[in-house]
Amino acid sequence: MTRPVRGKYSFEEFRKILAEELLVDEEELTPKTAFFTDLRVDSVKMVDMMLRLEEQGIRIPWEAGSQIETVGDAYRFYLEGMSATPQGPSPVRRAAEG
Amino acid sequence: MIAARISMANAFQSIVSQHLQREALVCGDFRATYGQLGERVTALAYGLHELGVSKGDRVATILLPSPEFVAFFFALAKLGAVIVPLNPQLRPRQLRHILQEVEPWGVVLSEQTAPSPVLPQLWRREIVGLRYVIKVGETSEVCETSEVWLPELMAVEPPPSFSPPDPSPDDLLAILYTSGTTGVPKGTMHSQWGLVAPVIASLKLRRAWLEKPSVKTMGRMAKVLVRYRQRLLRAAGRPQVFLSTVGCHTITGLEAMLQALLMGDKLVLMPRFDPVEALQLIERERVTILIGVPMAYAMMLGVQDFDSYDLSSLLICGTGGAPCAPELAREMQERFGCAVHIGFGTTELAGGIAATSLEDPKELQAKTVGQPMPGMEIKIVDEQRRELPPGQIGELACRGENVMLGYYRAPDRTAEVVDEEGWYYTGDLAMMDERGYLRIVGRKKDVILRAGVSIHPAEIERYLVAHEKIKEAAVVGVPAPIGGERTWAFIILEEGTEMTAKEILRYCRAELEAHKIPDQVRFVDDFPRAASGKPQKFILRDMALQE
Repeated sequence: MTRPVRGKYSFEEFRKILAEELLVDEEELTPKTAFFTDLRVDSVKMVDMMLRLEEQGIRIPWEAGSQIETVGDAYRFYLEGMSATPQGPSPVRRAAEG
Repeated sequence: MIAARISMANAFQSIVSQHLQREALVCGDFRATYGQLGERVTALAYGLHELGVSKGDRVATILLPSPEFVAFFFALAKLGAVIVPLNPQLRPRQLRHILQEVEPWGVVLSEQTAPSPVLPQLWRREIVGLRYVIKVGETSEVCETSEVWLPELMAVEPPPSFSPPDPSPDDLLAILYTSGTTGVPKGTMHSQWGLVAPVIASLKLRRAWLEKPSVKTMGRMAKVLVRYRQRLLRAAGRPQVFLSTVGCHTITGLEAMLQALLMGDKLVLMPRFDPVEALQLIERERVTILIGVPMAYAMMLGVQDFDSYDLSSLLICGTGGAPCAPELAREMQERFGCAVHIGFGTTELAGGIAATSLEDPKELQAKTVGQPMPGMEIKIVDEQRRELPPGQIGELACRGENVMLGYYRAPDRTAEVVDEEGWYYTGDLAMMDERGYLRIVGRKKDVILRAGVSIHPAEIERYLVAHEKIKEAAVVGVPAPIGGERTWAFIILEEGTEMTAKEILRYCRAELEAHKIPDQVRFVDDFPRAASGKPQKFILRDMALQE
């Protein structure tokens, strides 16, 4: 799949990437799907997921991490981050890469 | 300051009496001085006493870090009763197993941690001896006869004559659950004194620089002053402010709570970790000692406007509960601008075995777990439990006053890890250098450390092979770049069957707790095996690292 470098992903594109990352069916992901209760994604998996999404050009601000409860929240924070977040690797990615 | 072998109840009462007006606890909008905290503890102890709790009764708590948890801990200590703090994330199956073993007099839960409204009703049928379910929160509905709301329990002012029997330092105070090597949870029993002793050890460790300087300590002070300057001068001789971002059901979280509250310091609690809120709390409360697992630090460092927060009050970033990558430790030193203490401990020892100190060179702070805590004897042994010289890798064994009393209702399992001379064999592979600095190099026991939580592969493997299509499963921990380990499941399918990683994970989501669901799944035709036929997990781990 061609990944937009700076453009915005639609929700459907976002959902497809997320489904690949979490190894779930796309249909399981609606804006209301809850990460913890529906998908059993705990905080560790959430951090890993955000790091991997960042590799694909989807950067969700780290400060939003603990406020994300649903897939819809994640997409909203991604869109908000697009306008506010400077491009380039996040500090967590830098820490991860040593 | 606590000076002699005493009970937890008396240690707490002594601190309360000395610091009535000093702020003790902050959590959200809740603030309390030691005097107020002492009153809450006495009121709750009286309420529990009137309800029928007496010495030796066990009370399980399923609570987030909160003022209520703190009150229950010290109220039960005051009554000589036993607290069993349980992980709010446990699934109903696991909870039931533990509660059936513990047979608690009561279970305490809150709206945030109640697993399901029907569970307490089931527990009443399945748990022998369960008398009450205590609900934390506002009274909002009519209770069943065996339910009680916390505010009602604390509503009656204790009469002056209320004086529960003085608990002995040797009385059982807590049963802390840790997963067993076979995946069966084990309750580690700790006495009143056993949980005070690690606090005394920490106090000795930081006395030199956190108390008013004396002639004796000036030399050591001078050494660290060069490095920490204003931060040390601001912190020295004053009450410290702890921020704990760790759950109180873990030994790290419990020890952070006790270190603060048994030393007359201020404790700031976070019911749920949030990196921005943590930074705001450090700034607002002028936190000097921050406690968190490595991943929490990585998340804080990732906050976009990290550098805009005033973190100049911080003197120590303490971490443990999971391996901390040296790169992360160095970034913590640099950007938080303070010392990093990587502690190492186990639930069986009620806390720390070793820790780095302010005086240690930064490199040793980042790469080792420091030197043994005061009062802790350490040795490295071979397979036959013979002591090895410095520089050699072997199993880490420890002895001290905080070694557990044993595993609850499991004397055979206790005898496997604690010998007649009181040495506890940790199952960790370690090396100690000539100066006494300890490096943890691996584990003899098969345990995965994932963000502060121990996961025993056997439990996941057993669950996986219960699936009709799965022939064999081997679960290993693989180091993650931002600290801790991740769980990889290697799967051999039954011949002629097919299954996808998605299906495996869907199966796991049905029953396993979120943290036990494998992070990665790989299918293999066979495992690399030892002569005994057992999977060679170190090779599987290497395979994962090479991806």
